[in-house]
Amino acid sequence: MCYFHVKTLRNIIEEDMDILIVDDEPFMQRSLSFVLKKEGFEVEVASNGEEAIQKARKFRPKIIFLDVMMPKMNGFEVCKTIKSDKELCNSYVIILTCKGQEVDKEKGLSQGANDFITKPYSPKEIVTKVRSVLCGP
Amino acid sequence: MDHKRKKIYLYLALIGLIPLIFFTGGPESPFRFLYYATLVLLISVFDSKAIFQASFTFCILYGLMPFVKTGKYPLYTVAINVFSFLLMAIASGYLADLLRKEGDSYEKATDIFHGLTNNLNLKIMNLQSEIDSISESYERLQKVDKKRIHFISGISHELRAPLSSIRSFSEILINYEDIDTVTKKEFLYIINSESERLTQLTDEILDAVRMESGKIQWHMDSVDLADVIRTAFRSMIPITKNKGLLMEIDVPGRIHPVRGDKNKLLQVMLNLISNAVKFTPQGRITIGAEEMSDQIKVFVSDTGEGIYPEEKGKIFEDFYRIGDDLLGRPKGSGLGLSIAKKIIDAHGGSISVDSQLGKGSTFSFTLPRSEVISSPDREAKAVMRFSGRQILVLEDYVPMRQFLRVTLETLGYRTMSAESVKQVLETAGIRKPGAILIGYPKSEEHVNELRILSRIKEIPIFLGIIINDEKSGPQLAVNGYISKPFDKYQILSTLGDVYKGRTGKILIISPDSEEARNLQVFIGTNIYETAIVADVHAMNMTRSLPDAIIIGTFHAEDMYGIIGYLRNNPVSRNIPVLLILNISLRDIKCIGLASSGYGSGLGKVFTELEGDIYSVANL
Repeated sequence: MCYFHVKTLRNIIEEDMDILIVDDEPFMQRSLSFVLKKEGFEVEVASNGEEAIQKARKFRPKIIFLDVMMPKMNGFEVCKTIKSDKELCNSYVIILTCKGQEVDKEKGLSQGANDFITKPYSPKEIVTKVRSVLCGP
Repeated sequence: MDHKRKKIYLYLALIGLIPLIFFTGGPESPFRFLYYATLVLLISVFDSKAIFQASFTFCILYGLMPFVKTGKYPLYTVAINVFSFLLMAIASGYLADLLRKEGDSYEKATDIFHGLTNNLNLKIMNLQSEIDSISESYERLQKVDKKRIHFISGISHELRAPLSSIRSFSEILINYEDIDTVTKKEFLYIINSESERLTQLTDEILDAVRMESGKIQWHMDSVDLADVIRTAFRSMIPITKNKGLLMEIDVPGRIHPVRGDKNKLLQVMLNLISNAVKFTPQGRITIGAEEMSDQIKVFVSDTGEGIYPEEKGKIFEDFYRIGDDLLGRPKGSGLGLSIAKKIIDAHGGSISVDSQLGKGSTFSFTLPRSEVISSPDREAKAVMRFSGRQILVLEDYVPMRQFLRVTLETLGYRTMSAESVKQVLETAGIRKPGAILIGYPKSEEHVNELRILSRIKEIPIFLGIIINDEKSGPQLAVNGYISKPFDKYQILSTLGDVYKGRTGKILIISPDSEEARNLQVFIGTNIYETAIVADVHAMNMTRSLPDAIIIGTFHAEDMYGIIGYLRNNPVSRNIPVLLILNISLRDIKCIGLASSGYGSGLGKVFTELEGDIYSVANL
C-alpha cells in the first residue's frame, strides 16, 4: 500500500510527524486518512493489531489512532504493547471508543493511552486534536 | 372448681378408710382388709361401673355375711362398715372419673398443639421454599436483564459503525470543496451503501426483537422444502456469480412436506447462503436436502475458511461475528445466524454446524416431517376459534399429556407440549403460545419459573385436572382445589363451596399420614366427621358412603388413578372431590371451577376460557 509524504508541513514543524490509523473498518480508515492527508499530515493505516505494531516500529508515528473493537488483538492490547516498548512509548495514543462505553476510558488509561475520541466523531474534531498535539496548545 | 371437688372426694375417701381399718380389723386381719383395699383400688383405677357393681354385690353377699351370721358384731357396726365402703367406692369412682376426664383434655390439648406445630412447620417450610424460589426467580430475571443489556449494547454498536461512516463522509463532502469528481463519487457511493446497510440492520434487529418477544406472526402451512431451496438458489445466483463462486443444488426429486412458515424458512436459507458467500473467497457452495427417517435435513456447505472449534458454540448467539484479520471483518449485523436458529427452533427443528478450518463449513438444519396431513376442516376451525393461537400443555405424566393434547385438539385448539418447565421456557420464548395449561403440578419450584414467564410474556397459566369419563368423555375431574400451604379457614370455606350439607362424613385420602392428620385436625369439628384412608381401594364405599372426599398429595399417576376410580364408579361418581395441590395458586387460574364442577363437560369450560385468554392477550 502506498502512502504520501506531504512535504509542506515539514516546513512548519521541523520534525517528522506521521500519524498511524489503526481500524479494521475500511471506511473508517478511508475517511480519517483522507481528512488528515487533506490537512497535510503524513498518514499510514493498519487494519489489525499486529500490522499496527509492525508499522509503528517502521514509521515511528507521533500519533496513533487506535480502534478498540478489533478481531484477535484489540486496541488495549496494542496500546499496552506500544507503551511498554521503549522506542515506541513516546507516541501519543488516542483511543477511539464508543459512546456509552465509559469503562473503555479507564481501561485505556490503565494501559497508558494519552487521549480518547468518541465515535461517531466529526473529522474536524480529529483535525483539531491532531493540531493541538503536534503544534502544542 | 374441679380442683376443689377433687379435694373433697379425696377427703371423703380418707374418711371412709378410717372405719374400714377399724372394723375390718385393720392390719390385724390382713386378709379382709386387703380384700376391701384391692376392690377400692380396682374401682379407682378402672372406674368401671361393672366392677363397682360386682364388687358391691360381692361385698354384700360375702363380705357382710360373717357379720350377720356370727352376730358377733352389732348391726350398727355392719351398717357403718357398709356405709364406709360405699363412701369409699363412690369417692374413688368420682376421683377416677375426674382423673380420666383430665387425661382426656390433656390428650386433646396435645393433639391441638401437635396440629398447630405441624401446621407451623409446614408454613415455615413453604416460606422457605418460597424464599428459595424468589431468589431463583431473581437470578433468572437478572440473567434476562443481562441478556437484554447485551442485546441493546450490541445493537448500538452495530448501528454506530455505518452511522460513523455516513457522518464522516458527508462532513468531508461538505467541508472540502476541492475534491475530484471520482473521489466525490466514491464517497457518495460509500454513504449510499452504508445507509443501505443501516436499513438492513434495522430490519434484522426488528426481526430478532420480534422473535425474542414472541410477537412475530407465523403463517404455518404445509411447505415443500425443495421449492424453498430452489427459490433461495435462484435469488442468490447474482451474488455468487459476482464473487466468482460456483453454486450447486442437490435436492431429491420429491421430499415430504414439513409444517412451517415458508417465508421464514426462505429467510433461513438466504441467511445461510449469504453467510457462506461471505466466508468463501473462492470455490463452491452446495445447497440441498436429504430425506431422513422422520425428518428432513437441509444443508448449505462451502469450501471457505472454516470456523475455529471454539467459535462453533458461539456463532448462533446474537451479534457474534467471526473475526478475520486477513480479509477484514465481513459486514453484517451479526444477527443472521441467531435469527436462523430462532426460526428453526420455533419449527421444532435444530440447526448445527460442521466445519474444518481451511477446508470449509457445512451448516445444516433438520425439520420434523409433517406426518398427519390434518383435515382442512379442523384446521379452519382452529384458526377461526383461536386465530392461530396455541395452548402449550405441560404435564409430566406422559399418558395424561397425550390425553390432554388429544382432548384439546378435538375441541379445536392447536397444541404444543412440553415435558419440563425448561422446555416450556425454551418453546414459549420463541413461539408464544396463547396459554399454558398445566396438569397435576409437581412442586412449587416447578411452577415458579412459569409464573415469571407468564408475567414477562403475558401468557396466562391455567390449571386443570381432566380425566376420561367412561360414560361422557373428558371431564373436569374435581370440584375444587386446596393449595398448599392451607389453613383451617381455607379448607372449611372450600369444603363449604362444594358440599352444602351442614353435617357429614368427610373422607381424607392421603398417602402422607402427617398431611392427613393435619387435615383432620382442621376439619374434624363437631360438624364434620372424618375418616382417613391411604388408598381408595382400601375402603368399602357402599357401607359408609362419604359426603365429600379430600385427596391429598400423591404422585401424578396415583392421583389420576384414584380420581378415575372414584368417577367411574357409579356409587362415588357424584361425590364432591377436593384436591390438595402441592403449590400455591398465585397467578394461576383454575379452569371452569367457579361455573361448573364434575360432569359439566369441557366444551363449555373452554369456551369460557377463551374469553379469559383474549382478555389477557389484549391487555
